Amino acid sequence: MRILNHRLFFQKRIEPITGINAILFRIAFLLFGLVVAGLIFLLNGVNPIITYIDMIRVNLLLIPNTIARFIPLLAIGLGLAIPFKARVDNIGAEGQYIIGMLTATGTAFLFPDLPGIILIPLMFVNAFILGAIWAIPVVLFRAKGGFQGADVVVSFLLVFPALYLMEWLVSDLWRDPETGFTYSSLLPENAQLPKIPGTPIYISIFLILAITLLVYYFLFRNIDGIPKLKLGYEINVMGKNPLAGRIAGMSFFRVILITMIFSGGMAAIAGVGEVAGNALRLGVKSQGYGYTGIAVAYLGGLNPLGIIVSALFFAALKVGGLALTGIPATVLQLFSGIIIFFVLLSEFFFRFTIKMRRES
Amino acid sequence: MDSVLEMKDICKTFYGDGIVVKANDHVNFSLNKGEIHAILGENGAGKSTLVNGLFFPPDSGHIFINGVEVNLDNPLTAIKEYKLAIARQDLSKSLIERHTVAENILSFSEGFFLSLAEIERAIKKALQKFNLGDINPKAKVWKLSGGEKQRVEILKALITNPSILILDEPTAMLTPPEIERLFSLLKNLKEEGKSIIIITHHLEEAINLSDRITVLRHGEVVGVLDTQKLRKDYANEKEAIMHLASLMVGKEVLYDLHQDKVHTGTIVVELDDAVVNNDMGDAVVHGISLHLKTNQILGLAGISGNGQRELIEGLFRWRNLEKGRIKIRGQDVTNKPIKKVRELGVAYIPEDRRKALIFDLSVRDNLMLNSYQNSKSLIIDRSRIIPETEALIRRYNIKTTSPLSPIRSLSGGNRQKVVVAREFSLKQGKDLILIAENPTFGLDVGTTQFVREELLRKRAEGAAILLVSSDLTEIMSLCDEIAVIFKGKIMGIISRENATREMIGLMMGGAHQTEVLV
Repeated sequence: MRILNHRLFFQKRIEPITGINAILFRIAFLLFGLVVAGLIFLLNGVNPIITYIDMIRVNLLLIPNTIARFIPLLAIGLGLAIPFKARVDNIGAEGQYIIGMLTATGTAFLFPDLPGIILIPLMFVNAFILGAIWAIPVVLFRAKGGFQGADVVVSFLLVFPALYLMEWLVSDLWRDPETGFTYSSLLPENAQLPKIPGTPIYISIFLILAITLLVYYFLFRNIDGIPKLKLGYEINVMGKNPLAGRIAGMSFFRVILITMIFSGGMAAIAGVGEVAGNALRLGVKSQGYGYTGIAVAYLGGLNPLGIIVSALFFAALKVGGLALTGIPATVLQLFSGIIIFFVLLSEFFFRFTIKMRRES
Repeated sequence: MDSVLEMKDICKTFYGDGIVVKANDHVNFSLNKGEIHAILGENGAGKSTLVNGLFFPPDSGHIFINGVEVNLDNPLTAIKEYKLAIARQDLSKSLIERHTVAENILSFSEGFFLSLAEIERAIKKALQKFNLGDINPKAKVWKLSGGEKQRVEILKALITNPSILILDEPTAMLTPPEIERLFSLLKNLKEEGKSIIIITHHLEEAINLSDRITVLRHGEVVGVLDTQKLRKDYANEKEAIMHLASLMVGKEVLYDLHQDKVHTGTIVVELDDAVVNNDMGDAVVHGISLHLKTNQILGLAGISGNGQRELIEGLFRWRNLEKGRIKIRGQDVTNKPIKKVRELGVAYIPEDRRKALIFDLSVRDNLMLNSYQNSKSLIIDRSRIIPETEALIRRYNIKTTSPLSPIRSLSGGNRQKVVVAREFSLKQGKDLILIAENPTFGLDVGTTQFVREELLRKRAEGAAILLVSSDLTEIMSLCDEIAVIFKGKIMGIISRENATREMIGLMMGGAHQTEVLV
């Protein structure tokens, strides 16, 4: 782009932004997002500052609810961070998440008589397996096909079969005859996840937090620039230059297979928690956590510790939405859309910088 | 004499990847009517950039054609109005591979209606007129050999009947007889009154062909010489060439490499009757057999594009062998995964750095690319790798602020040192098998010397080395045996003592060993 006799252009950064600067950088972009969203609130005749303060107040009042929202976002965000790091763009976590919900429900309806101590783990295991299977076509097309963008296309397209499968199951096979709405029957009591007493926080939070910390310790924590597991290093290499990795003898297929199995499995586990811990029955609509998870992973800098913070942030946004009374629901969606957009925009500026050069 | 073309104060700077390169720094250049003017310089001296300034405007400077200042802001005006024509160096960019020869030349035709048949006729006529040999105008470009592509590119320039002809490294892909014919063609054109710029880094070519020589170094003109005078000033051609060479490379002089006498050892790699296809599915390696021995550097000479790349990729298991087999240390590894080949100690220095380096990862990450696998468990052995990588940085004198700086922040020479350090330390002594593909390509003189010395050191330690190079000097000064490849076949394998540059040159042009040995 040309302005007067200066030319503006993007240039790849030589020194990456790291450590505290990376965090500040992301926060700055979030603030930009909040300012832009604030302008939209203004256009709707709402004072954005008061709105933001209200959102914070609601969250402070409903901390347990925020934490309950935080659970699926953390699971999905963490699951996505790993393939993203290997440059496999799994944008279909939504589908894998729905499969998780379906598997949990199906397992519960198939074995309603099993005691909870067996049934609940079985639901998690089944969901992990089926969620992973739902993610495997992405691997096959990406690694074995000739088309680089296959991961994006295939993972996204796989959302829809999952969605329609859910619609069919809920409106037909599992439909609750007692309500007029299209809901499935309630999950049997022994399939419902126990909660921390007095709160909506269900117990899979412990499982997911434990996985998060393990993933951090084994794959992400670098000491002297070296991660603990070989897999962590292979993910780094594959994400930055798969060609060099393959020439060194790494298997691209193996690496992305592992990352996608984990990713699909984690999204499915999030789905188990949502249906068995929160909703207790299936509806025909999904919450869209799978899409928000993409922004969670990126805002967290694709790092488990960061993802904990960013999942909390997005959970707070969701709960804070309760404070936005008097605003059309679409504006609320626009609001989270803008935040996600700025999060993803910051990723671009992590890699590029704008330079200006004088031209004759 | 009146000059048909003058370029004054040409500046062009490239910005990329955090590096600022002054490709042309206040360059002055003039071309007289009816002369052949050679532009001489090393890789990256700014030769191509200078002539490209005639087709895309440079950052600053003035261009005069026949004494009138002109504004050449797009290639079409340059070609059509000012009768300039250029045969570019990078054929993959200047020819459209999927199109036929005629379709590639079509873009220069005049008139509203395009007639392929007419173009084809014109091409046939032009090929005859310019004595450029036989090329089928209907052939797809990707099916042509490197030399044929080069001739198409030259024809593309000639067919517009230019008054100023620019040839950017026209001989890179040509065989000696083809070069001979091209040069006599250029001399004829000169007689007709055309002015010709030829870019080259071959000193002999410059001296034998041109009337004047402009020498560029690091984007600046270091000398404009009259060839006649140059010939007179020096007793023989050799001294004149030495003078040009010192101008071209500056004060840094290549000192002689010290090559120890060692006895060639046992065979470790046996490649038998290999047939390899290129990306288009056509066989480009036709039944090649090569044996690599310990304590030996085997050179693979040849004009690039004769199947070297496919052969290496087949040998390294990047590509499937259609036929034939590979044995490494007696183990059959035909079409086994790369990992297996790597474990048997095969190190690889590719010509393209992007195949070897991960620019966004740290120096340490890049140095441990092979050795991280050396522990049994799933866990990386940090306590071993940290001292190892630090030792490599010291030993190979890699200039970096920290082992954790990204490769992107390193200079070109230091980047290559990272590759060399890693690959050379894959295995020790006789366990190392090294495939090096133009390992000094694009390096400065100091690093080039360093890499060559390291190759010889590894050879003395017992490594089996296959050196693929299009640089004959490199091949002649390093190798024990030289295999010459032409159109996917080995023309012969000669030991260095028996080889002369001329013999290798002839074989690179398709002569068989039996024809050149007397």
